[in-house]
Amino acid sequence: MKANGFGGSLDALIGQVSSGKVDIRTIALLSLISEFTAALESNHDKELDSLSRFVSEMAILLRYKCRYILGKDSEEDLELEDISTAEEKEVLLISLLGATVFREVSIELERKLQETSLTVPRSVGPDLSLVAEIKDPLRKISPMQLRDTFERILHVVEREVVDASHITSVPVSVREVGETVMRRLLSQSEVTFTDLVLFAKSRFEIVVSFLLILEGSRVGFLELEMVEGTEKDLVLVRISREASQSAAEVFAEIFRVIE
Amino acid sequence: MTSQDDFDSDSIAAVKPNTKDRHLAAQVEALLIVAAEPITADEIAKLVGVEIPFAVEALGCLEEFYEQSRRAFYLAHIGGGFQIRTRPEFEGVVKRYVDFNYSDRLSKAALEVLSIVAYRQPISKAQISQIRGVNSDATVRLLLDKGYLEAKERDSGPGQAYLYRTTKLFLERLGLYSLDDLPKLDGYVPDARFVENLERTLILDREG
Repeated sequence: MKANGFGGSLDALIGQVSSGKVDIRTIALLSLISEFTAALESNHDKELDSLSRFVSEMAILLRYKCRYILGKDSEEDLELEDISTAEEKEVLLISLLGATVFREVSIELERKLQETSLTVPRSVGPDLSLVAEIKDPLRKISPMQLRDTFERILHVVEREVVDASHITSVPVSVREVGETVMRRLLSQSEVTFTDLVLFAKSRFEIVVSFLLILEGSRVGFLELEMVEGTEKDLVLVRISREASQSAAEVFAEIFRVIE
Repeated sequence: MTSQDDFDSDSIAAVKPNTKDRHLAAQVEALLIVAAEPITADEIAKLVGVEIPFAVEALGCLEEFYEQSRRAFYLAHIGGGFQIRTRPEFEGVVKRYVDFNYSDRLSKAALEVLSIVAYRQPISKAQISQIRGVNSDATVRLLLDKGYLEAKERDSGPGQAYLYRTTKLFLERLGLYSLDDLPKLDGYVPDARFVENLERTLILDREG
């Protein structure tokens, strides 16, 4: 480019102008445009990149010239940095406008949401996420049945439970009672039931002892005999003479199982 | 009298005097009654066994009938289909019976994100955040959970970010038939004075 004593690229011209070495007011921008147009026609250089670069550089020069002629801006404002700041500002402005537009539209969308919420579809049924879980529920069951199902799910009825708080746990170890009975029977050839439970600490122990003796009799380990006493009849308990080792083991097993 | 004539009310007859047409309208009405979601004209046509234009005509006939007879419900063009919905004036009594809140209140942030996606879809989270100027990840996640947004595709660029779109539920909840029914953005562009003020604020900020 050649204009008023300057020869070089537009880029270089911008550099000279910004550093104050060339007075932009002495440069005829129109002659630069004519020169570029002529170069375009002769070289058929219509590449988009060079065209856009030229337009952009001319815009910067035009801006410098305007500012010098109008004299509104200080030298500081003519720094290229300011031009890039201006571009950034433009981008920011556009972003802010975009955000503002969407904020405004969102108010309208909210209005539409509220307006639509005033109308209810005929089949309000379950939530869509649930519909996806149940394959086409409305074709299999009626909406009222579906509603009842939801009622059941949402309002869980507490099951009737028997109050067992008045029942106390039995404070007896079957194993211990069984071992006591065994010790007594092994140390004495025969013993009355009354003697067997003489040292029982509770009624539960007496009942458990009685049940164990009955079981021992059933498996053939113990023998029971009714004898006449002075005041009342007595039940004699003894280990059976024919009691085998296996019967003793069965009896011991009974303790374990019951326990 | 044939069974076909049994459901022909005088009102429908006024709109569609032809018995065959009345029968078709009644069949379409039956489908609308049982459909859990908006049903498309295409689905109706297939189910009834007619060409789509006939199904559309029957829908138009029903819409006109409901309007003329001032029924408590109307035929809504919603979510890409058709749905029978109660009229807004009966909201009070209907909700006393239905006993659940059909409306879904969204925060301002959620509404902003929703509008950005609605107009710019498909769009990535980063792009949404860029437009809003704040991180919008949590809001996008919330809208995904609520079913207003979906992410079924990925960006072909670096990072292959998920791209978000609005769903059918979004259209339904906003009472829209398609995205074409969204309000035109032109009407929401701020006027020149607003832009001028905004620009001045930016200059002041820079100088400050």
